[in-house]
Amino acid sequence: MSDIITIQNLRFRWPGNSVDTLSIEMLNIKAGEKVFIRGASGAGKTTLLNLLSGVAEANSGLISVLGHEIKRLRPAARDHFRAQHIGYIFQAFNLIPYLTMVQNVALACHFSKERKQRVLKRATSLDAEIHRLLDHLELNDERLLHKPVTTLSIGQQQRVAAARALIGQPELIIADEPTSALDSDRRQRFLELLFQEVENCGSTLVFVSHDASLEKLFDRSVRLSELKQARELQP
Amino acid sequence: MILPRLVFESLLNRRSTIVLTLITIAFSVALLLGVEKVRQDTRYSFSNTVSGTDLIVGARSGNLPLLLYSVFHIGNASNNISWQSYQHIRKNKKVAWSIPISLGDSHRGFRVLGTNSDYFKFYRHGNKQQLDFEHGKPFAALFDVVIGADVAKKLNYTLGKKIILSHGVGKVSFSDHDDKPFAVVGILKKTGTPVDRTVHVSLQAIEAIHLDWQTGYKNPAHAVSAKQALKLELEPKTITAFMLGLTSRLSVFSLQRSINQYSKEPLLAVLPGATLQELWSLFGLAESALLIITVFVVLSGLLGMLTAILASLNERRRELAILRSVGARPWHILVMLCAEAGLLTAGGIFVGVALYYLIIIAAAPVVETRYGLTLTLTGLSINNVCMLLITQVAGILIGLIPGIRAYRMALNNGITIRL
Repeated sequence: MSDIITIQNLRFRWPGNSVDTLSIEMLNIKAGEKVFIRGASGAGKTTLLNLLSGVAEANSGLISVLGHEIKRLRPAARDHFRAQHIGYIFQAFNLIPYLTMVQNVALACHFSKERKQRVLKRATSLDAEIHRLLDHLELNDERLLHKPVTTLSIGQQQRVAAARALIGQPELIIADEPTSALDSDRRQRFLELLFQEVENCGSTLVFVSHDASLEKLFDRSVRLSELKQARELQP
Repeated sequence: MILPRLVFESLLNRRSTIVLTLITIAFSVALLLGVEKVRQDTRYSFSNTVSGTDLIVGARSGNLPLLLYSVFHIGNASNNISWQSYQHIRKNKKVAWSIPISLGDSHRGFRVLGTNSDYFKFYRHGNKQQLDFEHGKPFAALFDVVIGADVAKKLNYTLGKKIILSHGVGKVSFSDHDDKPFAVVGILKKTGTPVDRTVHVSLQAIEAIHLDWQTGYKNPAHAVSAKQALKLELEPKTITAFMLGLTSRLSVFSLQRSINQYSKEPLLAVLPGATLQELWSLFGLAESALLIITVFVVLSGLLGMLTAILASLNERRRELAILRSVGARPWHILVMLCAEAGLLTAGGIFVGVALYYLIIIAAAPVVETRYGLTLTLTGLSINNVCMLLITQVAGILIGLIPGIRAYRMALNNGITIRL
């Protein structure tokens, strides 16, 4: 399997700081992997995600996602690239409060033609695919569909967010502590459903968290603090 | 495109604040249009206090004083002009009609104007409107009187009412012409001009009530009774001013010049239109002050919107980050916020215009009867449309402020949300 993410000699420092917020000698993630990236708060997890999504730019080093060197892309191309290839799940409050569940899931397809086309290749319509996804994530309850998304439970909201990240089969799913607001039973169930769908789509999952108890569920685990030393992690 | 729906749904989601903001803008827009309307209509009604009259002639003083006392009945003439001069000018070939005016008496605070029946035939106001009678008819007999609408209303006079004129123009007069009572034979329709506050009698009547007056006081030795007066051939020796209508407007300036150079008596002829404009320009300052205040009201309405949108930004950081994560570009965010401000302003303008028309329709009858100002129901003028367009553009420009802030937030915070 080829590398979906390649990071080499990466350095990121906030202007005015004397130490690097993030420094990674080498990190390779293969397509289809489910990688757990572990780091305490302040270890630069957020920065790593911003760098991967092309919202922030590294001071030095190489980041390549899907064979595209992010630095070489112009800001507009980065936004487009992100919309097309990356799905996000945040810690909490993932949903736009004034849109319905279905509209929230559809959002990613409105900003990327490619993702919409991929949906239409597999399903008869965008709506059908959304309902299929929601069904898989145990959300296709008529009563839920018409409720304002703000009245959903945190667990339900996170599953809607997962559906939004997964729709149109982006190659990379980035999850930023999506389970931190869930209790342990639900955490387990959420991850099971997420893994299932990620495998269905053939996507790669980069899961960032400080919660070591989840580590064992993933194909492999990486500690941000250890990446500083020169060493390549093998799967 | 998803953006319009996002803007719309987002606004709908915050409807309580949004409606308040919209109402603020609507009120300020309605006020702007209202003030502009009153300004226009006041100006129109003012500059048409007298219309169709080509020249006003009086004793030589200044343009404004002559206009003020002859048309607005404010102040007094410095001097009268002789009947002979009037007759002389009246017979000029260029003159189509003339209205003599004799002022100096009053009735319970209302000015008495002595004239002849030509007044009812040729006097025009507003859009060349003639004087119409609400009740009755022009004066015919010596002691007949025709009163303006305000006089009738204020003093509660009806046809046939006997009234006494007073010497001088004070509100309270100590010397009444009580030996010669008049009878109301006509009540004029409301005009919104000084005519409404005028008591009209014939020139002969003015002569009759002053028969026993010599150099300003009542001389009992020369008392002439009303009955005797009726039998006399009364010809005025002097009048205060007269209005002229010419056969051709082209001859206005030549006639004006020849009147101003009239050798037998120092006379002054003025063009009422030009002089009214001159007088109006005196109010120009108050007029523009009013407009400036209204402009500030609109501005404060827009600033209210700015506050509302800026305040909402903080709660919407997450919303913006989510949009960014699904691929929204920073300029999408900028456009969204500007569109929001633009939509709010447009909504405010729309409701404001509706509100303005509602107010005009509701207030027009009251304003008409109370202030004699006719609020005409007209479409928006080009001037109005320009004002509204400027407001709209200002609204969108103001939207740039939160827009640029959100743009920066989107760039700096990226897809991560700082709580």
